[in-house]
Amino acid sequence: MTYQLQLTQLDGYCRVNFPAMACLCEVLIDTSDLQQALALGELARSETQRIERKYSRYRKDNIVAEINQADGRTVTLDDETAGLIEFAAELYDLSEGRFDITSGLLRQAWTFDGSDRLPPAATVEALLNNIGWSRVRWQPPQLTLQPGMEIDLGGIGKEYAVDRVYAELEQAFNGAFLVNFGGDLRARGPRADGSQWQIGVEKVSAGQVELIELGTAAVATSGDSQRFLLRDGVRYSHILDPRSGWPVTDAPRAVTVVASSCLQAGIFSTLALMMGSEAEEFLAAQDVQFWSMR
Amino acid sequence: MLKTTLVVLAVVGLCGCSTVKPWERDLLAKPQMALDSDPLQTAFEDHIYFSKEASSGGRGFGGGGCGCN
Amino acid sequence: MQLKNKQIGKRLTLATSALLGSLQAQAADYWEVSSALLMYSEADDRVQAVEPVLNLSRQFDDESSINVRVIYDALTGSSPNGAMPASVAQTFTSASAAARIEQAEEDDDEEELEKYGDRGSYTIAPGDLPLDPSFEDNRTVLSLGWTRPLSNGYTMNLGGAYSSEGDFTSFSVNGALARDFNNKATTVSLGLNLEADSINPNGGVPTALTMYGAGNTDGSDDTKQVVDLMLGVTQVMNRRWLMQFNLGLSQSSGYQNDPYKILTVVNDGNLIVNPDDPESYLYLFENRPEDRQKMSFFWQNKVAIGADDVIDVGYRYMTDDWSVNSHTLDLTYHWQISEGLYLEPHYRYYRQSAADFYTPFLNAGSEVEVVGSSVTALVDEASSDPRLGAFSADTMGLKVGLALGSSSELSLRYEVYQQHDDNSLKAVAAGSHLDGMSQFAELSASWVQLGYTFRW
Repeated sequence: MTYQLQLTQLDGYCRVNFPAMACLCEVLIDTSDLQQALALGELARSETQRIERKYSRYRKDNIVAEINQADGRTVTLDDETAGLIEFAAELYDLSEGRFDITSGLLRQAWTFDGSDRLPPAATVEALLNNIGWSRVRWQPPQLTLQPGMEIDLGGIGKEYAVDRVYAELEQAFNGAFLVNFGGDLRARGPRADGSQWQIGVEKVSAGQVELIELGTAAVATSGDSQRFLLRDGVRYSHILDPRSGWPVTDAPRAVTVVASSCLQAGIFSTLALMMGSEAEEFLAAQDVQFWSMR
Repeated sequence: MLKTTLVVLAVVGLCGCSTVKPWERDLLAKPQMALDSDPLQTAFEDHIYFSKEASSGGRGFGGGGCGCN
Repeated sequence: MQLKNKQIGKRLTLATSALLGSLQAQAADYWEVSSALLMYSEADDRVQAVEPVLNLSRQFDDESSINVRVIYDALTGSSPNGAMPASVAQTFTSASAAARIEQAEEDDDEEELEKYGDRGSYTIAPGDLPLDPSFEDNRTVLSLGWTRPLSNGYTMNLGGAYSSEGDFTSFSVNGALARDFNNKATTVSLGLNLEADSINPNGGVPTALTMYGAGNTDGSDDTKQVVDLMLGVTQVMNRRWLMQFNLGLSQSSGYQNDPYKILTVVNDGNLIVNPDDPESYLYLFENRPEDRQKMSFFWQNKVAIGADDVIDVGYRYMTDDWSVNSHTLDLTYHWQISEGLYLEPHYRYYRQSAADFYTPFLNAGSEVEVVGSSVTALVDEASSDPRLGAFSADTMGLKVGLALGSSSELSLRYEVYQQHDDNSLKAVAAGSHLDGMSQFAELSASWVQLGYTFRW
């Protein structure tokens, strides 16, 4: 059944579900007022859909399509998009080139289907000519890509949506709530009865779930669960290093990080995977709570 | 415990209010946009004008706590 | 440094805050220390003040914050005693200085005697504004504030202040409740302030409208109570425009007089010899109503210009039951020259009407009955305090701010203040002592403010 929004009254709180961002979006609201929960759920859904429409790389009528089809022309961005691009530019710098919104083209070479089919090195090499944030001219709010280059905000889009929906709900509602988009989530607590939201985190190995109490914080998980390639005993994660065009090896299967915003948690967990065998060392240096599963 | 389940299939009409979105609050968030951007300066001025003029307060309480009646 | 060991948290937090707006609660794990020094100076050797301030504030994880402020204020110089300038020399015996001398003699305090010995009485040359040279006071203020969000969407603010001077003590407590509406675009707040003051003038509380020098007092101290109520609305108009409206009501009751201010009494414009003391002229202590109700309306606009500049326009209207109405217009432009440097030119215009009992002097016959040595005021209230007269005033200033690193700022501000007399002239007989004399002393003052803020 296709549906647009589902409202469920649970014990002392309400849950709103809606499909968006290629995952199940869920919002828990600490109220027993169904009208209020519905209104807040609508708010969450409309903000999520707005972001999805605006930044999905699968659409032909949004700002991402306009940038990617500019063919060398300069595109002047609106404030929100300029903010996202500026954020991505800062991440590129912070991560020493590991986080790069121009690296989406590598998907043309790599298909992570659990098989052992690695692409030919020449194919990857050719793609690298059109990859690299350093080749982009970014004079806010004006963005100029070389012809053939593309940007993809998929790496931060879902986390951004969680934080945006959180901000909308925070303003519209005074109680506790939790925004969960396929495991990337952000909560405000405690609930009116004094309890905290409980979330399950898979730790160490799949199947072992640890329940943690989340106050006002965010959680994001990055992992390769079913998306990897296996060849000659080497596991290639779906996390590609844009500097080489090749997947990171020896990365944890999944990394879950707690931070104050979903974007931060998501960046930490993504960067940790990119650090491969040094993932845990990197996270420990960041002074954040994390779980890594190898 | 599940009490009730409601499935809403229709989309509820959206509120058309125009408000300043959070990402548009970049300017409002700057320190120079604070209503009282330099509280110590405000305190100095309030005290000076309280002691020289018949009016006080407005922005905040106009007491003054000053013997300069 | 390799990424694996590099702390990226701070830059990531900053980048995220920039993207998501200011909404992300930033746990400010530091004390913000603001300090400032004010050097205030009035023209013609009138009041000089040096006022250092230290302010400490801290935000906690639960979005509550505390604020502690200490102000010290050292005042010296001379202050108008309320008497008119006249074409003859006038000698005054300062009750306050006399009381200090008496106390110093009692304590055998040589230093204090040296300081005031020649100021117990002072003589003002013909044509000069009578200024009491013994004006000296130190004021210490301690104030505390606590703000905390309540679970139901309200924000609560509680505070208190204590202020002490040689002859004045003030206690106040205040509370306010604010609530956000409309996606935080609107904030409504309601606040209450209660203040209790105690006045103990040097030489006792002079009996109102009795002869200066006669030494009539109504005890050694008196009190005043003030209740302030304020309703405020803050509205985000659009991305660049923030507006605030405040409506304030204030009720003050008790001792409102300035115990050191006197009024000249004249007969057809000529000074009258004091019937008790042939060496001096006749002056009466002032008197003001025991109650005062004020209402103020305040409207402020902050408008962002370009990326970093801001126009600040404020207007205040105040009216009270002493017939004082005032208009204040305040304009500031924040001009961000570079990331670490800004200039703020400032202009303020102020105009007030006179209190209905304001008068530069009293006329014998119609306002004061002088029969032999019996002097009786025929008016209930009278004050020549220039603060209660009609005048307008301009303030012009410039502030320079310099960022020192990311967490500290240095600022310097210079302001010039000039009053302009708007009172209608009170009639004076031609050729008399007061003929041609200024009936309102226009005040000129300037001040320099040095500020330094850092995180600790």
